[in-house]
Amino acid sequence: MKILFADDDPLTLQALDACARSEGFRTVLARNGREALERWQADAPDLLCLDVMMPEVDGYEVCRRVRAADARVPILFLSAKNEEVDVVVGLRLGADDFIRKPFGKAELLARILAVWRRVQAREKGDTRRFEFGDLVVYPRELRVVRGEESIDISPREAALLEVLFERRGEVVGRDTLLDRCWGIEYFPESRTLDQHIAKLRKKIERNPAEPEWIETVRGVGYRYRERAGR
Amino acid sequence: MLGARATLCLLLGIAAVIGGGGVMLSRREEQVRHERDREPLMRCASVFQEELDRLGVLYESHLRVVALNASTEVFVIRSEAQRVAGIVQVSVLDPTSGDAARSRGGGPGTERGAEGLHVTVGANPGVRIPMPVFSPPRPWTVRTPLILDAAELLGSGARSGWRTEPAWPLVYWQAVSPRELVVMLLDRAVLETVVTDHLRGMSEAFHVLHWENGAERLRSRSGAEVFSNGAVPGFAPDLVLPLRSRFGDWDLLAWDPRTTRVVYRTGVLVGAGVAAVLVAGLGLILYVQGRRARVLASQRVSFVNRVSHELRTPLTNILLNLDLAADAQEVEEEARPLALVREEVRRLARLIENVLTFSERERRGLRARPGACCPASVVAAVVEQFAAGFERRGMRVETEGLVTDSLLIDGDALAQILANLLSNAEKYAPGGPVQIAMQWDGARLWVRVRDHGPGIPRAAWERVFEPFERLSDHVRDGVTGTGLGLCIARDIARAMGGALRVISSEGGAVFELELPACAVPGMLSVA
Repeated sequence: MKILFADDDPLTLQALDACARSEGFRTVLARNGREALERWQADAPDLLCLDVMMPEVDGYEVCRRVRAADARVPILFLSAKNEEVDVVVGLRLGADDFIRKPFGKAELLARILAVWRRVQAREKGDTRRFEFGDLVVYPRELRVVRGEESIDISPREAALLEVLFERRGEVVGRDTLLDRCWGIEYFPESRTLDQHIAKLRKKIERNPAEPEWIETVRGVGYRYRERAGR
Repeated sequence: MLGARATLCLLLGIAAVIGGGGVMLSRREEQVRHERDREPLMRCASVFQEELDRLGVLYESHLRVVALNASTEVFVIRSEAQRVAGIVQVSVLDPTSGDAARSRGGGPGTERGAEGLHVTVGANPGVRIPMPVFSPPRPWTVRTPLILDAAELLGSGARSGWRTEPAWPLVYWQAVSPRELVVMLLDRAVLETVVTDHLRGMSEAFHVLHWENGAERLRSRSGAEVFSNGAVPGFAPDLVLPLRSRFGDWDLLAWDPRTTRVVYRTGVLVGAGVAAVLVAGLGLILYVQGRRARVLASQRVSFVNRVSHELRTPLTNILLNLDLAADAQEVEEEARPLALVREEVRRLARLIENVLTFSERERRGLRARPGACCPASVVAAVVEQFAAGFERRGMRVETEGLVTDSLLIDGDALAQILANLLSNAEKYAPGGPVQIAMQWDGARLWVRVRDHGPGIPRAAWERVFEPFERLSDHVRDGVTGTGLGLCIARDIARAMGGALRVISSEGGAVFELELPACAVPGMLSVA
């Protein structure tokens, strides 16, 4: 999933980029509205996150022009302007959500995923799902469901679950997981995989300290244990 | 600004009413008399008076003829008397002996008395006819006597004369011989009527008086109108010229022309004007003061908004980078200081958000922006913000009945309310659990947040929602805060059409949030 971030503050842009990439999203960056429009046409992102106040062409104008050409691509505004009129203008122009600054990584990702899920539910183009332990995983909608509970997951986590599910019962090596989930061009630090697995366990395991479904095979990798048992 | 304008309009309106009322109260219509030339009136009165005098002389000459003929028979006396208007009785008297008229005959309408003969002329039942006598009558005399003094009448040397008694008919006497006296009684009403009719024939003399916008009237004292010019006003005439005669009295009345002039009572007018100016001035002063205060407040709010907005972007960068840094920590213990920093940044962000919300409330009130929202997700996001701080304070959040349906509600506003309630619990109830219970009946959503701290005394249930209000000097107790959180939470709840209240509990404080929340049409449960 490719996200276009447009913000005139380079530090914010950098942080947004890092947060999204760390969770497995691909990113396209733009430092102003004009650049955002160019990148949107060139890279065809799946979702746009736009700052409102940008030089040359502001976020509202970018939204208006994108909406005129594409009614479906999800658009979120990230703005320090959060008065009612700003939100109303943004939503009337066709934005799907308005995230008010300040926000953290978790909120950003949660809102992105919520919008993405709504769009997916609306389009219903991909209803692929699989069972992972006592969970049902909807990789396209970036969520897992346990009973009545719905849990958001990142694209990276969805990819990890998919790889482990494909090779259920087998030990999946660290390199394989890194290649499949991070891509060959990316060289994550040694602990990155373990941290993501730990985060994933916190989300899907009843007791992350004693995981039921994702087993660690020391020095090799991880294994999806189809039938719970220790 | 609307309030200041409304006040100005109200006070200007009151000023206008006072001014208008003052003008109306001070206004007075005044009649101005324009005195006319008196000369024509005097001349006219003189013409009529001369005519009356002429009539008097003429009439007296007729009476004299009747008296001189009274020495003949009774029927002659009567026929002579009937030719002259007004005679009701002719008496032929001899003051020296009682049989002076014995040779003159008798008949109906004739009465013989001790001193003479009385002949009644005509019949006017309204006239009481007395009997002229020289001596007091005997007790059985029926008719009322009119006692004449012979010495007075004859001793003066006069041959004729008049005697006027207000209650009696007019008396004319004529000595026709040294021993005979003819006394005639005259009906005043008949004489007045006859003379009035005569005067009516002199219209030219009267109508030359006509004066524009004035009025004139000629009438008898008894009220019979002879002439009138113009509309006779209801008030007293400006000029009364009396016309006198033996036959009665007439008055020539005249009214000067009048015009109406509008005058204003200066005192009332000035008083009302001053009052109106004072009220209008007060309105202007209040308007200017209100406007100035509003401009100052607006500048203050604008300043707060600008500063707060400027703070948001760096706060976002700090939060995002903190999250990234925390993710990069390999050992959980090493991430703890970062979590602390993150918690403080979150607190700072909430503080800024509350200040902004408060300034917005002061400026134009709060408004909700309902949209599709999953309350359970909102709770999860807010709880996540507090996770590190709660863990450090030995607190935990217990949830019950979280609603996972998509409801039409302002998610950001709900998050701000919950954050303020959890912040309150974090400050005042450390070390215990915080329970968040939710209930939804399809139209309304109830959220109860309960802590296990010291609780809130019933007397302070309302006070805790006042801005800058705190139950005690918590700065001294080591608890910090602006005192805006609960106030803003309740204002937001009200703006959403709901309510936030403290409810009774056995221990700790329990806040109940009630919001209108219907399901989003066409949206299924996300669970």
